[in-house]
Amino acid sequence: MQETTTTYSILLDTFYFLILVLFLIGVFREVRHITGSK
Amino acid sequence: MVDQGPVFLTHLKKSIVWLAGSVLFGFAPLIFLYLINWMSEENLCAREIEYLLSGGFVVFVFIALTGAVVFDLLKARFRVSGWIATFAIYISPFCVLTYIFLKYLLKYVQYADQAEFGLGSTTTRLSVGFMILYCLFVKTIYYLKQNAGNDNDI
Repeated sequence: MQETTTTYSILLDTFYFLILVLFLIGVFREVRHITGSK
Repeated sequence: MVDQGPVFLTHLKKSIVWLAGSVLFGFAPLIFLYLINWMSEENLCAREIEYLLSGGFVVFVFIALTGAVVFDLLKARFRVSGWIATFAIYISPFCVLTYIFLKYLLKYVQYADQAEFGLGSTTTRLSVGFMILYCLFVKTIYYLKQNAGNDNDI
Protein backbone atom coordinates (compact mmCIF):
# COMPACT_ATOMS: atom_id res chain seq x y z
CA MET A 1 0.00 0.00 0.00
CA GLN A 2 2.71 2.44 1.05
CA GLU A 3 4.85 1.45 -1.96
CA THR A 4 1.94 1.93 -4.38
CA THR A 5 1.22 5.35 -2.88
CA THR A 6 4.82 6.39 -3.28
CA THR A 7 4.99 5.12 -6.87
CA TYR A 8 1.83 7.00 -7.88
CA SER A 9 3.02 10.16 -6.16
CA ILE A 10 6.43 9.99 -7.84
CA LEU A 11 4.80 9.40 -11.25
CA LEU A 12 2.44 12.34 -10.79
CA ASP A 13 5.18 14.65 -9.52
CA THR A 14 7.39 13.68 -12.48
CA PHE A 15 4.47 14.52 -14.80
CA TYR A 16 4.14 17.88 -13.02
CA PHE A 17 7.83 18.77 -13.36
CA LEU A 18 7.80 17.80 -17.04
CA ILE A 19 4.90 20.20 -17.61
CA LEU A 20 6.65 22.90 -15.59
CA VAL A 21 9.85 22.63 -17.65
CA LEU A 22 7.93 22.67 -20.97
CA PHE A 23 5.88 25.63 -19.71
CA LEU A 24 8.96 27.64 -18.75
CA ILE A 25 10.68 26.94 -22.09
CA GLY A 26 7.50 27.83 -24.00
CA VAL A 27 6.90 31.07 -22.12
CA PHE A 28 10.56 32.10 -22.44
CA ARG A 29 10.46 31.48 -26.20
CA GLU A 30 7.20 33.35 -26.62
CA VAL A 31 8.42 36.36 -24.63
CA ARG A 32 11.66 36.37 -26.62
CA HIS A 33 9.63 36.16 -29.83
CA ILE A 34 7.40 39.10 -28.85
CA THR A 35 10.13 41.35 -27.47
CA GLY A 36 12.40 40.48 -30.39
CA SER A 37 15.53 39.97 -28.28
CA LYS A 38 18.23 37.57 -29.53
CA MET B 1 12.44 47.64 -33.91
CA VAL B 2 11.58 49.28 -30.59
CA ASP B 3 13.30 47.71 -27.59
CA GLN B 4 10.50 45.98 -25.73
CA GLY B 5 12.55 45.00 -22.66
CA PRO B 6 11.22 47.83 -20.46
CA VAL B 7 7.77 47.26 -21.98
CA PHE B 8 7.95 43.67 -20.75
CA LEU B 9 8.79 44.86 -17.22
CA THR B 10 5.96 47.41 -17.31
CA HIS B 11 3.48 44.70 -18.28
CA LEU B 12 4.95 42.29 -15.72
CA LYS B 13 4.28 44.93 -13.06
CA LYS B 14 0.70 45.27 -14.36
CA SER B 15 0.33 41.48 -14.09
CA ILE B 16 1.66 41.48 -10.52
CA VAL B 17 -0.87 44.17 -9.54
CA TRP B 18 -3.65 42.23 -11.32
CA LEU B 19 -2.69 39.00 -9.51
CA ALA B 20 -2.39 40.71 -6.11
CA GLY B 21 -5.83 42.34 -6.52
CA SER B 22 -7.46 39.12 -7.71
CA VAL B 23 -5.89 37.05 -4.92
CA LEU B 24 -7.05 39.58 -2.35
CA PHE B 25 -10.57 39.45 -3.79
CA GLY B 26 -10.53 35.64 -3.96
CA PHE B 27 -9.31 35.29 -0.41
CA ALA B 28 -11.71 37.95 0.95
CA PRO B 29 -14.04 35.37 2.60
CA LEU B 30 -11.10 33.71 4.32
CA ILE B 31 -9.67 37.08 5.42
CA PHE B 32 -13.12 37.97 6.76
CA LEU B 33 -13.25 34.72 8.76
CA TYR B 34 -9.77 35.41 10.13
CA LEU B 35 -10.96 38.89 11.14
CA ILE B 36 -13.99 37.48 12.97
CA ASN B 37 -11.76 34.91 14.61
CA TRP B 38 -9.35 37.59 15.72
CA MET B 39 -12.10 39.79 17.12
CA SER B 40 -13.93 37.02 18.97
CA GLU B 41 -12.61 35.65 22.21
CA GLU B 42 -13.47 31.99 21.66
CA ASN B 43 -11.98 31.57 18.16
CA LEU B 44 -15.46 31.34 16.64
CA CYS B 45 -14.33 30.55 13.10
CA ALA B 46 -11.32 28.35 13.81
CA ARG B 47 -13.13 25.22 12.64
CA GLU B 48 -14.42 26.84 9.43
CA ILE B 49 -10.97 28.19 8.60
CA GLU B 50 -9.41 24.78 9.17
CA TYR B 51 -12.14 23.15 7.06
CA LEU B 52 -11.60 25.57 4.16
CA LEU B 53 -7.81 25.30 4.22
CA SER B 54 -7.69 21.52 4.47
CA GLY B 55 -10.40 21.19 1.78
CA GLY B 56 -8.29 22.94 -0.87
CA PHE B 57 -9.68 26.49 -0.82
CA VAL B 58 -6.30 27.95 -1.80
CA VAL B 59 -6.04 25.63 -4.82
CA PHE B 60 -9.62 26.47 -5.88
CA VAL B 61 -8.95 30.21 -5.85
CA PHE B 62 -5.85 29.80 -8.01
CA ILE B 63 -7.65 27.43 -10.41
CA ALA B 64 -10.30 30.14 -10.90
CA LEU B 65 -7.63 32.79 -11.58
CA THR B 66 -5.81 30.52 -14.03
CA GLY B 67 -9.11 29.81 -15.77
CA ALA B 68 -9.71 33.55 -16.14
CA VAL B 69 -6.32 34.00 -17.85
CA VAL B 70 -6.76 30.94 -20.13
CA PHE B 71 -10.17 32.05 -21.34
CA ASP B 72 -9.04 35.66 -21.84
CA LEU B 73 -6.40 34.30 -24.22
CA LEU B 74 -8.73 31.83 -25.92
CA LYS B 75 -11.29 34.59 -26.47
CA ALA B 76 -8.68 36.94 -27.93
CA ARG B 77 -7.50 34.18 -30.35
CA PHE B 78 -3.86 35.16 -30.15
CA ARG B 79 -1.49 33.16 -32.28
CA VAL B 80 1.72 31.99 -30.64
CA SER B 81 5.14 31.29 -32.12
CA GLY B 82 5.46 27.50 -32.05
CA TRP B 83 4.23 24.19 -30.66
CA ILE B 84 6.08 24.57 -27.35
CA ALA B 85 4.62 28.06 -26.77
CA THR B 86 1.18 26.72 -27.75
CA PHE B 87 1.65 23.96 -25.18
CA ALA B 88 2.85 26.41 -22.52
CA ILE B 89 0.01 28.87 -23.00
CA TYR B 90 -3.00 26.80 -24.03
CA ILE B 91 -2.39 23.21 -22.88
CA SER B 92 -0.23 23.29 -19.73
CA PRO B 93 -2.99 24.66 -17.42
CA PHE B 94 -5.21 21.72 -18.41
CA CYS B 95 -2.32 19.34 -17.67
CA VAL B 96 -1.92 20.84 -14.19
CA LEU B 97 -5.69 20.57 -13.73
CA THR B 98 -5.35 16.86 -14.62
CA TYR B 99 -2.51 16.58 -12.07
CA ILE B 100 -4.81 18.04 -9.39
CA PHE B 101 -7.69 15.74 -10.45
CA LEU B 102 -5.44 12.69 -10.21
CA LYS B 103 -4.21 13.75 -6.77
CA TYR B 104 -7.84 14.13 -5.69
CA LEU B 105 -8.59 10.69 -7.09
CA LEU B 106 -5.67 9.21 -5.16
CA LYS B 107 -6.97 10.89 -2.02
CA TYR B 108 -10.46 9.46 -2.43
CA VAL B 109 -9.37 5.93 -3.30
CA GLN B 110 -7.28 6.07 -0.10
CA TYR B 111 -3.93 5.91 -1.91
CA ALA B 112 -2.86 9.34 -0.75
CA ASP B 113 -2.63 11.24 2.47
CA GLN B 114 -5.98 12.74 3.57
CA ALA B 115 -4.25 16.08 4.12
CA GLU B 116 -3.19 16.14 0.44
CA PHE B 117 -4.78 19.56 -0.16
CA GLY B 118 -3.80 21.17 3.13
CA LEU B 119 -2.00 24.49 3.12
CA GLY B 120 1.50 23.04 3.54
CA SER B 121 1.11 19.94 1.36
CA THR B 122 3.31 19.27 -1.66
CA THR B 123 0.31 19.18 -4.02
CA THR B 124 -0.86 22.62 -2.90
CA ARG B 125 2.62 24.12 -3.08
CA LEU B 126 3.39 22.68 -6.53
CA SER B 127 0.05 23.49 -8.12
CA VAL B 128 -0.22 26.98 -6.62
CA GLY B 129 3.41 27.69 -7.59
CA PHE B 130 2.70 26.73 -11.20
CA MET B 131 -0.51 28.74 -11.31
CA ILE B 132 1.18 31.88 -9.92
CA LEU B 133 3.88 31.60 -12.61
CA TYR B 134 1.24 30.94 -15.26
CA CYS B 135 -0.93 33.92 -14.25
CA LEU B 136 2.04 36.29 -14.08
CA PHE B 137 3.81 35.38 -17.30
CA VAL B 138 0.88 34.50 -19.52
CA LYS B 139 -1.00 37.63 -18.42
CA THR B 140 2.16 39.60 -19.30
CA ILE B 141 2.22 37.96 -22.74
CA TYR B 142 -1.47 38.85 -23.09
CA TYR B 143 -0.76 42.52 -22.26
CA LEU B 144 2.23 42.56 -24.63
CA LYS B 145 0.15 41.19 -27.49
CA GLN B 146 -2.67 43.59 -26.70
CA ASN B 147 -0.15 46.44 -26.64
CA ALA B 148 1.19 45.39 -30.01
CA GLY B 149 -2.29 45.99 -31.40
CA ASN B 150 -3.22 43.30 -33.84
CA ASP B 151 -1.77 39.83 -33.57
CA ASN B 152 -0.85 39.94 -37.24
CA ASP B 153 2.24 42.02 -36.42
CA ILE B 154 3.72 39.35 -34.15
